Amino acid sequence: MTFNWRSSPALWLAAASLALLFLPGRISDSIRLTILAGLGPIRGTAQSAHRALDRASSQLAGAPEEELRRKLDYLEAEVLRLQELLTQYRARIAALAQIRQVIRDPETEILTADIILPAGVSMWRRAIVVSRGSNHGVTPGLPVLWNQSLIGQVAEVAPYTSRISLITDPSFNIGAATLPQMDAEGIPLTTRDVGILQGTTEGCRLKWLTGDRTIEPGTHVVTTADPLHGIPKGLLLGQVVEVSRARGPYADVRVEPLINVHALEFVMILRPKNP
Amino acid sequence: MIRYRLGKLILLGITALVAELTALSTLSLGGARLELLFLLAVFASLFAHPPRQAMWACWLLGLLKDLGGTGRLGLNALLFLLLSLVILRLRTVLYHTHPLTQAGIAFGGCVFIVLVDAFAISLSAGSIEGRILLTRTLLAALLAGAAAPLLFFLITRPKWLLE
Repeated sequence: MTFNWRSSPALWLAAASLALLFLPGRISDSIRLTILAGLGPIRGTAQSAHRALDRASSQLAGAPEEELRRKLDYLEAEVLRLQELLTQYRARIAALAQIRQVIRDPETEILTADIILPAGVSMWRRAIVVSRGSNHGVTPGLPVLWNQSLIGQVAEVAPYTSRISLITDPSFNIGAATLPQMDAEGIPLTTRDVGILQGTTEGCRLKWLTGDRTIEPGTHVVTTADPLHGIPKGLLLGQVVEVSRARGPYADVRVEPLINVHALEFVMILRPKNP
Repeated sequence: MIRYRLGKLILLGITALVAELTALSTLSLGGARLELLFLLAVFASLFAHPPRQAMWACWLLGLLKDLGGTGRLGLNALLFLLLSLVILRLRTVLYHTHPLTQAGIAFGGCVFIVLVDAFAISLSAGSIEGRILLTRTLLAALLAGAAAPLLFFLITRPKWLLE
């Protein structure tokens, strides 16, 4: 079957696609994150409807003993739900306390953000969507932490949501250093090597380390200070899993992140108190 | 002859987007994921009547993929539109209802979409290693090729989608 190109919508749709491509990033990011934020309330609405249905069904049951039994079941479920909330809040308090051991700058504050979407649709990008946005003082470039580990940076911001690029995302680059290994008396056995940590989709790579460095698998990698983006030094990034010195003047150092972001329910954004 | 309703296909696309963002986000084969929206776009192109239905369907499905992704809005919409034009041309010479044809078109189309996506990311975000690029592209294309005939069979069974 052939068709008439002039009467087909192909040209108009292609023009619309190009128009969207050249849309300013902050507008397209804002539109996209606002739409994706709708998934959070949908999940919450479904849970509330389920609880309301449970309550209604218990009231419609009739028999007093059966009614009491259903109320007891409902109250037990509520107790479990509140216990879970209490556990979550305790975990947040503990995480904040741990972070404050590393981040002592009084001009910064920590904002907790729930993870709305743990992943995107692209197999090449590593990003999550969280429930804090520009209305909460979040701006692009802010570091995102879990306890004492840096897990990513704010990439895109909408009024109520943000997208975080994880450290395994190809767009992530940060100054990093290896932690020297110490003997029992605290004397360093290896040197502190400084390079750039870049995400590779599967993990990370520590670049620009010359081949004569003594870095070995098992070495921990931490951030170097980046005052421009408010990233303090000493935040954990990952652990070296493989070192290859086969090709070129630079060693190929593979780093595996310490934190599995998909197991988290919330993260912490480090922001200045007075932006 | 199989003919589908555009509105219902887009609803299916929204469901596929939610699935890709939630349940399917943790399922992968060597880092490669099942591209449900892409497979729906291939289905839309193979069974469209008239052809403009395929263009609209693929453009909208590509836009849905852009909404769930991190790249520029409109990139996947444009790629899926190009894909639909190629498939519309191919189906005049191929037996498009045969499972092997569907698998082959899904495989080839997936390679194209994934490679262009990776190229765009390399330009805008950061480079992707050659080894990872090659293996994930191949695995994603194999997944798409294997899933296409089964998925097309399953979504044509319920009569609510078809005219």
